[in-house]
Formats: sequence, C-alpha cells, structure tokens
Amino acid sequence: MQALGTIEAPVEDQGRKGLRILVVEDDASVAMELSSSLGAAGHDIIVVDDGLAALDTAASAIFDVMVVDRLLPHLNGEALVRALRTRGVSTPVLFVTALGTIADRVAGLESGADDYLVKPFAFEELHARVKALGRRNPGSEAELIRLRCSDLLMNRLDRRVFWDGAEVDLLPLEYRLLEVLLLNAGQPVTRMMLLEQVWGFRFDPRTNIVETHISRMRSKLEEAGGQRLIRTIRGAGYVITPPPPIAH
Amino acid sequence: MVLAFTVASLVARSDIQASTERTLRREILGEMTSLQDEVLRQGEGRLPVTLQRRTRLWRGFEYELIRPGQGAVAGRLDAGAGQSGWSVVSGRGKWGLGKTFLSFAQKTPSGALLIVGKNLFDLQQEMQTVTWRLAGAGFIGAMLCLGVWMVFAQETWRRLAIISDTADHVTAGDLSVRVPGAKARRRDDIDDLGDALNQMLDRIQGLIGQLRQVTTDVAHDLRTPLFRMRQKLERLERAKDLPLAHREAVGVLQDDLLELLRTFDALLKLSEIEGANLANDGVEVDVEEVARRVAEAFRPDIEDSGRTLAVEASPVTVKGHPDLLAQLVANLIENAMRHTPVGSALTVGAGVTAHGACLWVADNGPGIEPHLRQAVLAPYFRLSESRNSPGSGLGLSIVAAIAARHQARLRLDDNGPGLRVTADFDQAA
Repeated sequence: MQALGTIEAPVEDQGRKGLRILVVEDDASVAMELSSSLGAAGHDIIVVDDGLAALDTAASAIFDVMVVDRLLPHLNGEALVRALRTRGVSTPVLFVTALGTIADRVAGLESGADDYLVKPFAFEELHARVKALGRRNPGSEAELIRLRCSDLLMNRLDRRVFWDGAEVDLLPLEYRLLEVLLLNAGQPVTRMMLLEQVWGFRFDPRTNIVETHISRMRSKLEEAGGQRLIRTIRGAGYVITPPPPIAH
Repeated sequence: MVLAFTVASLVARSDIQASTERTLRREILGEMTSLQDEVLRQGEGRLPVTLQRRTRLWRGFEYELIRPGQGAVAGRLDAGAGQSGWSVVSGRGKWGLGKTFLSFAQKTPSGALLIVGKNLFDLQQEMQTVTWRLAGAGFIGAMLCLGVWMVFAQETWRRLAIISDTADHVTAGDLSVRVPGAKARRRDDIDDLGDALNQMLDRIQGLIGQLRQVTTDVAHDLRTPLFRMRQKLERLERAKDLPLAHREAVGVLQDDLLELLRTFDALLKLSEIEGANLANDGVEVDVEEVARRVAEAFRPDIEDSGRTLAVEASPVTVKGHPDLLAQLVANLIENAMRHTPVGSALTVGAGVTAHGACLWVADNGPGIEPHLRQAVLAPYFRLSESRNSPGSGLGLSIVAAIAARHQARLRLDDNGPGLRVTADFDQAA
C-alpha cells in the first residue's frame, strides 16, 4: 500500500484509525476486559467464544487483527490458526494465553501466529502489539525502503540514516532500534517489543538496557538535528513522532 | 573355604598317619610272632643266627637280643636297656640322628629280651609326601573355589556397580535414570534391590513434580493479582493531584511489586528450565553471535556505570536454545556489574577448548571466596554484602539450570583477581 512510509499525523490521530479486531476467548471475564479496553482505544471489536465458530467468522469477514486464546473449546487456538492459514486467511494473529513456556511459544508461532503474549500482561502491551500487527501489511514491510519522520530519513537498502541530508553515524543496534521505531512511527513500541525485535531477548533483564540505548541514540540524533523525535510514554513504551506543529 | 580345606586336610592327615602306624605295628607284631614261633620249634640257641640272617635278607626290620647279664648279643638295633612293650627308640650312635624306630620288646622263654623294630623314617617320609599332596590338593581346591567365587563375585560387583552408578547420577541431579531391569535369568536379591531403587526414584520424581507444580501454580496464581496491583499503582501514580509524598510512596511500592513479580517470573523460569518442558534438544546455536549480541546490549550500561567491557569471542556452535543461552550471558553480566566496584573490567568470551565449546564472563573485581563458590548457585542465596540490594538471589541458579539443561558444566574460578564464570559444553558433538 505504501511505498514510502511518510508520517505526518501526530500520535493521537493514529488512535482514531480504529482496527477491526476479532477476539476469540472463551473466558467471559477476560473477553469482557479485552473488548472494553480495546474498544476504549477506538477499535471495533467482535468476540467469539469458540474455536470452530471463530473459524467461520474469520473466514467470512475481514479483520485487521485477531486476538486469540490458545485454550478454546472445540478447536484450540493453534489448530484454528493453522486452519486459517491453510485457507489463505493471512490476518495477523496475536495469541494471548497463560501457556508461557518457551516450548509453548515456539509451538504457537509455528502454527502460523504472528505474535505471542503471556498472561498476565499489561493492556498497554496488548494495545501496542495489536496496533503493530494492524499496521503491518503482510509482505510489504520489506518494500518500505525509505522511512521518514520529519527531517530524519532512513534508507533501509544501504542501512544509512540521514538528518536533513547529513549522515548520522549509528551503531548496528542503534540502527535496528531506530528502524523498529520508524516502522511503527506514531505508535508506541513497548520495551518488551524492543527487547524482542532489536536484541532477540525473550527475557527481561534487570538492567534497563532499552532506556540506555534510546538515550544514547537520542543524543546522536539531537546532535545531528537538534529536535527531539523519540518520546518516552510512561507505561506504554517509546514512540518516534514528528514534533507537534507549532500552534499559531 | 580355606579353613574347611585346612581342617579336612589335617583330619585326613592324622587318619592316614594313624592307619599307617597301625599297619606298622601289625607288621612288627607279625615279625615278632614269627621269631617266637621259631624259638619254640628250634630252641633259643639259634636265635642270634636267625636274627643275623634276617637282617642280611633285609625284611625291613631291625632286631636286638638282650640276654640278662650279657647285654646285647645280636641285632643292630641299639635299643638300650628297654623293657617289654612298645617304645620309640631314637637314633643313637651308628644310626645317626633323625632315625627313629618303632620297636616292640618281648621276653623269650629263657628270659632274654627280644626287640623287633621298624624304621619310622619311611613312615615319616610317607607322611611328608602325603602332607604335601594334601596341601597341594587343598591349595588347588581353594584356588578353584576362589576362581569360581571371583567369577560370580565379578558379576555381582558389576551389577552392584550399575546400581551405585545410577544412584550417583541421581545425586548429580538427573532424576530420570533408572536401574536396568532383570534380564532373562532368575530374579535374585540384586534385582530386588534395583527394583526398590527404581520405585523409590519414581516416588521421588513424582513428589518433586508435584512440588514443582505447586510452586508453578502458586507463582502463576499470584502473578495475576500482583499484576493488577501494579496496574492500579501505575494509574495512581499518573493521577494529577497526587501529593508529592504520596507519589514517592507509590514509587517505592511499585519498585517492591516489580521485585516480587520478577521473583515469580524467575521462579517460573527456573521451574521451566529444570522441568522436562523443553520438548526438543534445541538447534544449532551460534554461541559467538549470542555472546557478542548480549555483550553489546549491555555495553552502554556497563560503560555508563564506569566499567569497561571486552569481548573475546571466536566462532563456535553448540546444540541448544538461543534464548536460554542469551539469558545465561545476560544474568552473568548483570551479576558481574552488581558485584564489582566502579572501574572494573568485564570480559565476555566464547570459544573452543579441547573438550568442546565454552562461554564465559569474567571480571577483575573482588571475586567470590572458594568456599562460597558452590553455594552462590543455590536458589535465594545472597552474599552478605548484597543482602539488602534488589534482586531475588535466583539469577545464578537460573544460570546453573540453563547450563545443566545444555549438559554444560558451570565453573566459578578465580580470575586472578576477580571472578570467572565458565560454562563448559561437554557435548559429545
């Protein structure tokens, strides 16, 4: 859809673009929490409490994201996703489940899901991941060669970053960090998401290495351009966003 | 066995000796009777001649005839004064030492003393031969017994060694081993011992499994309400009209809750790693890449804290779980940061040794005293100096569990100065 990722709207506007989300959860109270919290964020929610029914629903209607529990009646989460993929339904799937071991996660992702959240989780985490999945156009992420935010330009082909034409020298990890933020520009990316996507850590180190790397990168960018693009949203994560337009 | 043989030989020997002696006596008596018969038939006058003739003919006997008042008048047996009946005459004079005679003395009709004797030397010789033969037979018998016993004992020792070996494996931490079952031969006590051990191990494994499940369930069950509490505190913290003192208190509560949640997560992780939940044996992991990636992730924090980091990694792969190996390195780095003073140098390395791959994190800080090095790996162990700092004390036990999961040996050595923690992957690749 987008050959060039050009972000111009501020963070808040992104929230208005609600996603159509299918929630497949048989525990009524969890389903209620999920749907009210996601609904409050501006998304359209449909809840199904059964795996087989979900298969029908997902195959017959278009959804931007599916939030699926692994333990379901009649057809469990994994089998559901596998069946959907076989039928060519490529809707991004986020598993939310109490099954939290490494083996569980591997099995879940192998069945065709795109992301995996272990209960209990913070809703900010859920929201960030749902939005990230909803934004993703399967297959087209690789086509986003140039990412831009205000005067910052990232060329993913030769892995170089420029501020207003002048190159910014970033270490590989810093580049990757910036890349993840830019791919999700305008939406918060949580610390856990960064740990996973930048460093491949599926554990939570005591040391806040994310914060340290972000602040180092901020210094480099601000040295180059003088503007603060990366904001920390407490409890939600980090977001890269153009500076707010100056109000007249 | 040997005792039995000795007793048997001694008994046999004395039997043989007794029997031989009886024969000897019979022979001597027989000869005496024959001589007395001749005296009765031919008179006593011819007796010396007879004795001389018989001596010359050598029937195996020695004789002596002592006439009262005249002393020995015939025969070579120098028996001395003597009296009737049996006696043992020991060698004198011309017979030399060592020659003893069993002799029988009897009065002739005229009152002279006739003595017939036989050399005991032969008997002694024979006894010696017999004794040697018996000893020899006894010895061979004993050796045979010993041989047979050793063959059976070897088998028994071997089977006992298998059981002992199984027990060692369990002590080393592997509860899944069992004593192999009886083969297609008759069951015996050792098989029963093996079975008993197996049943005991089943029970222990079951109990530990239950205990682990309880711990895991508790951790699971408590996480959700704790999590909710954390959410509420976060919302409270964001309240705009919260007084500063309350805000600070909320901050402290949040930190405490975070610690609690971390502890539960660590417990669950420990349980997962130690349990049989890791379904497969893993994939080929580029350990050099893991070491570098994790080290570089911590570099900014290490340098900001006033310490230095060096990476000494060369290409090496092991079969395992990249996520767990990354966590192992991360935990060790954080441990090193926490226990060294500002200015310390940290090193992360990976490489190949003679035994296989190895992964290490070293520092030049105060190190850990040798007697504490094993103890620090135990869950919840805290060195006295870090007792009040944040942390659950589970970090190193997770490291130990991950190492064990990969069949790696964890070593804590003196880094001269400092601490060097090495995971040796002794994988028979």
